[in-house]
Amino acid sequence: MTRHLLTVHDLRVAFATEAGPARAVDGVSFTMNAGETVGLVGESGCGKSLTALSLLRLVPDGGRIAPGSRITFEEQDVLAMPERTLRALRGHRLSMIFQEPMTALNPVLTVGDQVAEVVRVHTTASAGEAWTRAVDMLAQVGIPDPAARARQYPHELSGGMRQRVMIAMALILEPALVIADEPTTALDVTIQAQILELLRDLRDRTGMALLLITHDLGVVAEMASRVLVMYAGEVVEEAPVALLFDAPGHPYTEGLLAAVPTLDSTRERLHTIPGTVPAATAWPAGCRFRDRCAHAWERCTTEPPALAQLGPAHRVRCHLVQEPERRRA
Amino acid sequence: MTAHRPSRTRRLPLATALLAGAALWGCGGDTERPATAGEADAPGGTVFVALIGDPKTLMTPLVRSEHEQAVAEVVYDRLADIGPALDVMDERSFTPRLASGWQWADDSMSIAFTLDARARWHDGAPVIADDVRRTFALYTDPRVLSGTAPLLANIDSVSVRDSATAVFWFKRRAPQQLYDAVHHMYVMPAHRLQDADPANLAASPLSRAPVGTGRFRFVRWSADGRIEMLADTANYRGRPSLDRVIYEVVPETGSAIVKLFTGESDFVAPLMVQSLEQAANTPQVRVHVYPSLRYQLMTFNLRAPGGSRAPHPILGDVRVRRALAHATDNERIVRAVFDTIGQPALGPVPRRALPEGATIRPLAFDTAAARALLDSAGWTTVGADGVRMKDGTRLRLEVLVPGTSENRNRMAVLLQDQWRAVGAELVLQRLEVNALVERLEARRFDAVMNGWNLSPGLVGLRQVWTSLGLDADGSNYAAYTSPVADANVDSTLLTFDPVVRDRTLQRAVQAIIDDAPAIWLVEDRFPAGVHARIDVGTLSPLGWWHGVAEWRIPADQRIDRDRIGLRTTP
Amino acid sequence: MSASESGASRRWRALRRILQALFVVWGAATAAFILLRLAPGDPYATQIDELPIPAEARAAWRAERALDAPLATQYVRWLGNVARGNLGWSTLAERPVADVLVNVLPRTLALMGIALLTSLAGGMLLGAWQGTRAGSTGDQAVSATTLVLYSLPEFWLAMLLLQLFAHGLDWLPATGLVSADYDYLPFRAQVRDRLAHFVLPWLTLSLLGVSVFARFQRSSMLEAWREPFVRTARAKGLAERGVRWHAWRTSLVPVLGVAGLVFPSLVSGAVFVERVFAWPGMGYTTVQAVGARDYEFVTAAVVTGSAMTVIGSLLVDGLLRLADPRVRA
Ligand SMILES: Nc1ncnc2c1ncn2[C@@H]1O[C@H](COP(=O)(O)OP(=O)(O)OP(=O)(O)O)[C@@H](O)[C@H]1O
Ligand SMILES: [Mg+2]
Repeated sequence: MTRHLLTVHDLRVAFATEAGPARAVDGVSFTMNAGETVGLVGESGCGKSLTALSLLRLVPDGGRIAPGSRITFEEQDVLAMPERTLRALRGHRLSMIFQEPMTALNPVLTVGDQVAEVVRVHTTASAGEAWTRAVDMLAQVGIPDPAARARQYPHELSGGMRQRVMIAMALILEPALVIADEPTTALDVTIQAQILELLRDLRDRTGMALLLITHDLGVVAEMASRVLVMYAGEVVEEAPVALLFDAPGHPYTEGLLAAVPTLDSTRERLHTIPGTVPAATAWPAGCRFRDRCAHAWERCTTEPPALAQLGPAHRVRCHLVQEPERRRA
Repeated sequence: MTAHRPSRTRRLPLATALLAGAALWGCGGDTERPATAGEADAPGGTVFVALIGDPKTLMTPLVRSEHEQAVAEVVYDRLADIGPALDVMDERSFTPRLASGWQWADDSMSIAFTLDARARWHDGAPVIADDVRRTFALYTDPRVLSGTAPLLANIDSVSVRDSATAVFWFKRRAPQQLYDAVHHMYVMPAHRLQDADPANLAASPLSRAPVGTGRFRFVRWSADGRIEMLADTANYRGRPSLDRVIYEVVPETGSAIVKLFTGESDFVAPLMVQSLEQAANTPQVRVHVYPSLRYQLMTFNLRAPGGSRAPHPILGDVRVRRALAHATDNERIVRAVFDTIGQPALGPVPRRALPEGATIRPLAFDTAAARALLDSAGWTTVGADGVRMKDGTRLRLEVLVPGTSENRNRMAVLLQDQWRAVGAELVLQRLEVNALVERLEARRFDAVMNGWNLSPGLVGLRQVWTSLGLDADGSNYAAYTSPVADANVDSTLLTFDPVVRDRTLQRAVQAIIDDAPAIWLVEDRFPAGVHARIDVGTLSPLGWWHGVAEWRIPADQRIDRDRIGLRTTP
Repeated sequence: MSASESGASRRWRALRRILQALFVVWGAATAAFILLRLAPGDPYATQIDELPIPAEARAAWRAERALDAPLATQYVRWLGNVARGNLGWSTLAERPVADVLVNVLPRTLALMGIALLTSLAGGMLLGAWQGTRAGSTGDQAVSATTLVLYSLPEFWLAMLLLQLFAHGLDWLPATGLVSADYDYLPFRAQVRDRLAHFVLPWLTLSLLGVSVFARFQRSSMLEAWREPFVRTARAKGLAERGVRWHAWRTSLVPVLGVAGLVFPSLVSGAVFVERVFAWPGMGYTTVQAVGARDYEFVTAAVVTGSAMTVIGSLLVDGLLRLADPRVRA
């Protein structure tokens, strides 16, 4: 059995809300290997970000990772490790790029300081050395005149530049795994392409693993070797990227594929699937997708489908795996 | 009260005055005691006095506030002091100060004061008659705008007979001539005033660094407001028992009282009534209650507001005023506001200024009488809210209350309550003092909570309660006139016969009370808090500061600061 | 944008600010000049309970002081005097206005300045501490305390502290700048004496100030605490202290923004503090002077006060620039 870089087993995250507990992430399991790029897709609110944040134990206030959950990163139990060990991990071996580079950066500190801070926290480098490394890194992420830019504040930079700063911050210590949570959503189309290009470059150069969260299956097709599809807090399909595009197993995935945005309408959300995601406080009994599914039958209303093996590396959470004849044309 | 009439036939011979003076020194001055009197009588001690307000100037013609007077009193001397009975007519009760004696002219139109030959200014210069002349000139110079000048109106001039004799010339014969000449002025050093600009006297150096003849001499007035006085060991009246007095400004009474309790201050006056119980329970503090000639009242406006000559629509009727007086239980008001410190006022003259055995009949608290009077005055219909009406007018009065005086506000509230019982409505109008005075001077008011501090000569009676005070800048705010009061006040102030004076004073007071131009509320007495180690004797009704030179601290009671001694630091 | 251009515009902006400031000071002084003279009473008005000074004498005195001239004439004369550096004569203190100012102004500046600094520092620390623990028992206790301090009339608070520390505990002297026998104390005791007398007025103002600033700082910190960059700081592996620093640094911006607004309330606090603790300063003296219709002192005090306020707001602007790069530019 190969040692995985990351193993997530039965991850459950719940929020206590006025309407009762919201099971926002509900039994997610997957693995990642070193150097591998995995895409994590799904509609808004299905639990992608929460899953990612759980890997760093950064679930927002009010949310709790349920006791049975297990996350193993580089053979360490992330959920059980002491704060100190966890802090040594964050930003160093396992780092994260956030979606909104404006608010994710501190507005009153120079970008150079914010990048250098990572070095200062995790290494014994002096402030001067850390600064030099930060400027170097800013150059590597393609920021022109990095020495001057390092002394600027986030508001003085364009959105694309800010995201480059975020990337520099996440990658400066060459982590084993980088989580990029919709790194391009907030950016202009042309900039998006540049950022993705940069990420791919850096990944190839450093050999890091990348968990790429996105709505955009086009991005996934370009970057990832494997895809996880989430719906309503669960992984509903897992497949190598080619297989997923050729022969999607889950009706939800089919829907997503049908909605792949063309280049000129990237910002449109996935609204070709009728209906909306149910509330996390009240998942429907049976299949959580059944109300929006064209193929649903009685079994779907009563029996929750399990993640079933459809091929060697292909798993799908759908009763159609057992009863393919139910699929309508 | 002993009769003594300063007249051609019965003037006080100089020798007698000198004798009386010497006798007084015998019991007053420490240095004259034999050295064997014992440790306990050795002079010494430093006293910290908290002043509830800032003195602005110690230039005596400009002195107006009590805080200023309290400080000026120990540095400067009068020509003579009035006796403890405050009897302006009893010449024998006056004690010589800077004047060792005085002699009436045969026509009683002038008095010659002989200056004490031993007296020296604190800078060493001898005291000369020209000092007295110059002092009078300053006090009465219109450019100085001295608040004291009106009290000197009967003095025509002061002349120098020789360097040791100053002669006061009067405009009219009056029983208060001696009192007027000696009481109102502190004698100033002429040689220090040569360059003083009368129009800007406060700018002269003496204003902040007085040079006097008093038993304490001035040491410093610190930028933070502390004023230090040191015993004048070479004083012609003998050195005071204390070495030093330091005055400190504490504008908030509550804070000053805390300082008294912590021992940071030795003397605070007046205390608040609310703090008396705590003072009684503090072993190192003693409370001395001292009387005064001050009283507080609610003055009615007898004329229609706004300076018209027409009678006030409500208060113009004496029956209404008397009714309101009957409706007032001032005993209860005084207890509630001043506890046992204040004394219910009888009328326009405090008890201690009335002749002994005087029989004054106040308008007693009697609500039945009040109602009957209001009925008879036509205020018969009673509205739904219990307020009486007459021809569609409500029995409603507005009283001006100075915004700074909590006590007057409380008294007004109690009055409001008591009058409601007989169907009269009182509305309180709290005003900033300047605004209140403006309305007072324009006579735009129904009633006002005010007070008067009578001087021992009682001249205030004439300004406040007779037709002489009626003009626009007079003090007869009530616009009260009565031939009986006018005549009796006049003869009180003008007669040379004490028996006549006693009789007319009583008549005047009774007449005013009967006409009820005001509600007499309280005769003020003041509690002073004193550190127990200090023997302050009896505090004078003219002000606690009158006896500071007599205060003493027994040697065995002295604390650290009492042992600083006579040294001063630069 | 060329460097010379921005330099010129900056110089123009500075000039405009100075002109504005001068205008504010002049306006305030003029308003004080006119309003006070229109108010009832004058420096030689009859006092309540006192026999009046004869009208002719008063009129003569007013003529001497040119107080009988038309308002416009008086105003022009006053402007001329001020322009020549002559602030006039204080009828309350019976001394030149400048003499009084030289005495009272430094005292108030020292007291207020130090109290303002401790208030800011204390409030910022306390509020920040609360902001990261919102809802905890400690936070609630502190909030309740600051609310009480905040709503308590200044006079009462001063009296309360006086009773407690001077009377009850006898730890501190009650009032004054120094003890009455200060001049006779040895040098070291004099230093101690001065410091001891400073404590109560300073403490009163500081408690007031801290309670105001802490409340602002708390809500500002709470807000900053929810900002995404706080999560970024955690994801970088910063220890909790470092994370708090990130939030605190940003939360200062709105707090400094209100510091200018707090200033006047501290001034009004100073009036009572100066009275209760017999701290002969600007506030107490000015209130006295208004009551005594000391025209020239009050006008001078208004000039000084509004100049102080303007300088204060310039200082706040400067601090704000330091704290927030976004307003620099
Ligand atoms: N602080 C919170 N309190 C309560 N519920 C929350 C909270 N944060 C997230 N959730 C719940 O968790 C669900 C998943 O949130 P998550 O941010 O992981 O969605 P996502 O898949 O990343 O969506 P998006 O594409 O919009 O980023 C949300 O639908 C919401 O109901
Ligand atoms: Mg998300």
